[in-house]
Amino acid sequence: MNGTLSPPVEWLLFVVLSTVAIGGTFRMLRTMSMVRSGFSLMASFCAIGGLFLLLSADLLASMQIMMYVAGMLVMVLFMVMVSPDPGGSMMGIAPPEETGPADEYVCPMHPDVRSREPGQCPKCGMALQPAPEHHAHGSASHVKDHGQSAVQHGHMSSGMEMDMAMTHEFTRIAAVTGFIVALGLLGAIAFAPWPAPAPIPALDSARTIGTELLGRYMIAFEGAAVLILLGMVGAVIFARRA
Amino acid sequence: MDYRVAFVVAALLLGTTSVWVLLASRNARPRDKRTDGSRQSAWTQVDVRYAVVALLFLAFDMEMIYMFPWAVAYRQVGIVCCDSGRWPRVRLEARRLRSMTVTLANAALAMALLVGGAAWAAIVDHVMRSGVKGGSLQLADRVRTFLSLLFAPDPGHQRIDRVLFRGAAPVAITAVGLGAIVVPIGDSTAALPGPQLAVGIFFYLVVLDVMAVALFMAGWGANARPGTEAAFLAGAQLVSYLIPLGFAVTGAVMAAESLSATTLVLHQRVPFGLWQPLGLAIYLVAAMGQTYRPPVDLPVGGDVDVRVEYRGAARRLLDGSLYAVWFLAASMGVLLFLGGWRGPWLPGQIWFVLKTTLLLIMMAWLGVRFRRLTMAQLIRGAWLVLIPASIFNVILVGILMMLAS
Repeated sequence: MNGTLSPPVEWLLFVVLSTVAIGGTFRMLRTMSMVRSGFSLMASFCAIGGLFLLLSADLLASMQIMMYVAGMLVMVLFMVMVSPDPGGSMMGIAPPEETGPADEYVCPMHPDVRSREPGQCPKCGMALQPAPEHHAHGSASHVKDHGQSAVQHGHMSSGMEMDMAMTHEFTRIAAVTGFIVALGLLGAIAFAPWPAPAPIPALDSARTIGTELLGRYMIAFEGAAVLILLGMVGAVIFARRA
Repeated sequence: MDYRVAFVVAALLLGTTSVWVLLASRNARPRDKRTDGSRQSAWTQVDVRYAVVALLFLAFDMEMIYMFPWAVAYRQVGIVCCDSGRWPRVRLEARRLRSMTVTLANAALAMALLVGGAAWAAIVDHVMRSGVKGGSLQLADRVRTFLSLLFAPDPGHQRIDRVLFRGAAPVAITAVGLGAIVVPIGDSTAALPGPQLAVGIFFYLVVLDVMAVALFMAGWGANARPGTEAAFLAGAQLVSYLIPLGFAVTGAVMAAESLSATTLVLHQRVPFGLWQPLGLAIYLVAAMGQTYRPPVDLPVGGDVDVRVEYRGAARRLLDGSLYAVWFLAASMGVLLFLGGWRGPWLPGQIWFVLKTTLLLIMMAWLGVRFRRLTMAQLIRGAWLVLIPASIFNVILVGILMMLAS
């Protein structure tokens, strides 16, 4: 680390920043408000920027914070613009529906796929949902209201129920995969031959990075520039058509 | 590099302002979930091109990240990287001070700039408005109102988003205070760790980003139509004005080969503003956009205002942080283009204050002179005039530097 902080302070900052980083992502997953989740993620990324600072990577830290503050703010703006419920009131109020056995099941993506029994869609593999006409006969009337409000917002024009619980077969696979990957990473951390602490890097990291970018990494630098230019041109073309 | 300053300032400001806001706003009854639909009319009015402009902004934002290292290394490597060391490099190694006292001194300087700068900017603003428009000064009255409102309880209402609403003012104050740590005001303060921070100017731009986030939090957290509309306008200002600001700064960075505020000033035997007048002009306009000054003050001006639901301490803190960020932008303009504290006869600190005040007066005059721009006008002006002009300025500076060799 950078040697200007005493070890206890450094550890304290490390613990605080990593707590914010992890807590921010946790908070992002827990809240129903898209705006809040965006800001939680922003806080998490800023804390990671702080961790970079502890490692003497000042330019990288500034970049991290600048990109993610601006990026998350734009993301929040987009979510507010396109989402019918950016504040999370509808999702927050409606409890996950306990449905009894329905007569007919239908795929949320392919309305022509219907089945007498619950299962998976042969086309896309998603879990089949209870068909709406049978659902409407059920006891939970507020769920029907919920579906109608979604229809009003134009997102569910076919009149089907939204899968509000967001749990289907893939989550189990994802959880297992995530667990295995996490184990692998932890193993890598535990058994990797870590290099000896490097000397404190050059003070003017902007100059070092600039010289490297224009020298050894010229191709990558120009490649990124072309990609960004393509993105800009694409956005402008899209705007003209709109 | 000494980052203790940043951590000290952040902890102090975030802590005190949060406690203050929480204490002063005990009357509000918060509620987590928003249920009213008044907000929806706000987003339906947003042009679809807003999204495209925002995407373009992100692309340019990324571009700027490459831009600054390039600008620092430009003189050394030239247009194509070949022989480095063609240019005699100016060696300016100020003494590096590292002790707890120095950290505290830097933090104290940042606090003084935050508070004193906000007060000074408010005075200049008021004098300019009343002077040009023919009103009376009534400074004492203003101060009395300010103090009486400071501890007024927040009436609040039931639908606010508690976390965002309460968090906005502490985030804003902390951002500006952190930005103030890189500002040197004279020879004696030039050796402090903050002004010597190797990424100082970049750090300041990051802080302006965070200020926009704070305003968005305030507007959205209030959960009322004027606030939400203003939050969108704050986003529009960010996606319009940060890019020309960054490119205007790039010219000065190229000439000084450094992002550190002290090094920038030490390189200005001739102020950069004299041979980069276009850069200075773009900087001033873009800085007004990023600090929400009239005539580009849509998010905080008139009926549509992110602060519309705020009373008491939080309101005063937001007002104060807006004045402070304006002062910060002006002082950064002085450091980048007007030679900082350097000047004949008078002590450095006096020169610094004089130059900063000059920039404040120029910006305030523009605010009095011109009518408030609409969102379409400001986005159009930024993307069709300021950004091309600022890129032209970067090329111009590069050519001038080549010729000067």
